Amino acid sequence: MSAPSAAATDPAVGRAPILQARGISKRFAGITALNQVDMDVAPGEVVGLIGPNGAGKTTFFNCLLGMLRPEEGVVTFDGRDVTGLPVYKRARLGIGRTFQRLELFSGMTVREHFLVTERARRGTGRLWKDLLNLSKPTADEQALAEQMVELTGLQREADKTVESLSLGRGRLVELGRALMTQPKLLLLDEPSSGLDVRETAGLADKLAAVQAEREFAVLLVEHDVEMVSSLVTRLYVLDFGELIASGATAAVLGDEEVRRAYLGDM
Amino acid sequence: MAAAPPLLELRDVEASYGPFRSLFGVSFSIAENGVTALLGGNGSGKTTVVRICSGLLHPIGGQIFFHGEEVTQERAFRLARLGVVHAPEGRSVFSTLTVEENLALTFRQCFGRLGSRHALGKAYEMFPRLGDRRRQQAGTLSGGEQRMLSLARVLVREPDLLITDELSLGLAPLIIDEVYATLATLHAAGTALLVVEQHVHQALTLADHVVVMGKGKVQLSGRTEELGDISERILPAIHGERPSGNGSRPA
Repeated sequence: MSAPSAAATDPAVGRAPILQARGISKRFAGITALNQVDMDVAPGEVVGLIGPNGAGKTTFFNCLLGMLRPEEGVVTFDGRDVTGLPVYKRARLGIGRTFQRLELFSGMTVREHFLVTERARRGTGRLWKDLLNLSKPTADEQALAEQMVELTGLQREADKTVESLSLGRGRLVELGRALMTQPKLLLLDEPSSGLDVRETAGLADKLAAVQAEREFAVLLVEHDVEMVSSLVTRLYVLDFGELIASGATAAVLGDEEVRRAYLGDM
Repeated sequence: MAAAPPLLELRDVEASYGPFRSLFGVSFSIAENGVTALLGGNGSGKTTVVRICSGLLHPIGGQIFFHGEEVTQERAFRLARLGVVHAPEGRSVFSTLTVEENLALTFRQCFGRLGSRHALGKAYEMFPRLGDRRRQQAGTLSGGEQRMLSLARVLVREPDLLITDELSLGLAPLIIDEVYATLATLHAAGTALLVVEQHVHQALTLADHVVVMGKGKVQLSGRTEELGDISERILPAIHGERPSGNGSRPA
C-alpha cells in the first residue's frame, strides 16, 4: 500500500499515462465534493476507484468526462490537456463510459444501438438523412455492429428492443455501445448494480476477455469487492472527496483506514 | 386452542401487467416476527410479489391475508395503516426538498411533531452521512446517499411487517452491514421482515425462511436450516437448476 501520491511511482504507471488527473477540486454550493484528487491510468491498465457513498466517485468521473467542470485541476488524456473540452470532444478522443443506472435508447433494438454509435463515431454528417430515414447502414457499419453483437454474446437479443431485456443483458448493451466508440479508456460506473451473483460474474468475465483482446484502459467504480478484486490491478480510494489510499489492489483492500471507512468487517 | 394465523399469507396468487402474466399460483406465509428471504434471479417475479404484499399491485387471482383478515383487494395506504411498510427498490426521494425536509415529511405524519424530532435523531444515528447533509437538496446527493435517505424514511418506523426490496443496491459494503444490523434490531423489537435481496448470503444471515422465485412461480421454499448449505438447494434453485437431494418443498 502506498500513500495517495505514490501512484505515479507504481510500476504500472511507469509508462506515460493515458489519463492523468492532477489537483482536481469540485465544490457544490459550498460543499467540497473533491479536494485535490490526483490519478494516473496507464494505457491498457485496469484501475479501480472505490469509496463510501457520497465520497465523490461519480463527481470525479464526471470531471474526467467533461460533464462537470472542476474549479481546480488539470485532466490530461493521451498527452493532451482536455480540461476545457466538452464531453463529445473527449468521447471522440477515446473516452467511453457506462452509467450507474441504465441509459439506453428506448424503442431501439440492440443492433440499432451499435449501428447508431458507429455512425456517431464516424461523424460522416448524415444526420438529416438518418432523421428522415433516407440512408441505410453501409455493409461495413453492419459488419462492425454484428461483430459487437457477437462479442457481447447478444445474438439472441440482437433484434429485440432494449425494454424487453433483463437488467443484466441491458448492461451488456451499454458495454457494447461504449466499446463501439473504440475507447482508449473506458469508465464503468457501478456496472454490477442490480445484477445477481451469476450475472455479475458473467459481466466480469466478458469485460476481462474483451479488455484483454482490445487492450483499452479501464477505470472501474464498483461496490462489489469480489468483482473489483477479480478485475483491477491497482485501486484508488476516495472518502469525503479526498484520496485516502492508492496502490496494489490486495494491499489497499487490507489497509486499516480503508477497512474503517469503506469495507467494515468483510 | 387454535394456532395463531400467520402474519401474512399468500394463497395461489396470480398477477399480470396488462396481457403479460407475471405470477402463477404463488403461495407462502410469514409468521409473526418471522424473517423471510425472497430470492431469485432478475425477472423471476420477486418485485411483483412484494408489490402485491404491500397493495401496490392487486392480484388477478388468489387471496392475501394479513393477521388472518383477507386484504386481497386492500389499497396500499390501508395496508400501511394496518402495519405493512414497504421500502421499494431505487431512490424514492423528493429531489427539491432537503434531506431533513424529506425525513420530516414522513416522520411528522407517522409520529407527530414531538415524535418527529426523536425519529430524526434515530435516522441520523443510523446514517451519519445524512446528518452531515441534512440541509442539502436530496436531488444533489450521490446515488448511494439518496438510497440511504429513502431507507431512513422507513427503517426508523417499527411496523408489524417491513418489506425491503434490494436494500443493498448501490450501497458501500460498510453501509450494507449497518443497514442489516438495523434490520436485526427491528426484528428483535418484534417486526417481521420480508427481504428481497440479490446478495443471498447477506439475506440468509437474518432469514428463518427462504422462498425462491423463478419464472413467476415459487421454485423452492422452506425453513433456512432445513434447506442445508446454500450451494446445495438454494443457489441451484435461484439459477433455475435442478436442486440436489430432496427435502425441498416446491409450491
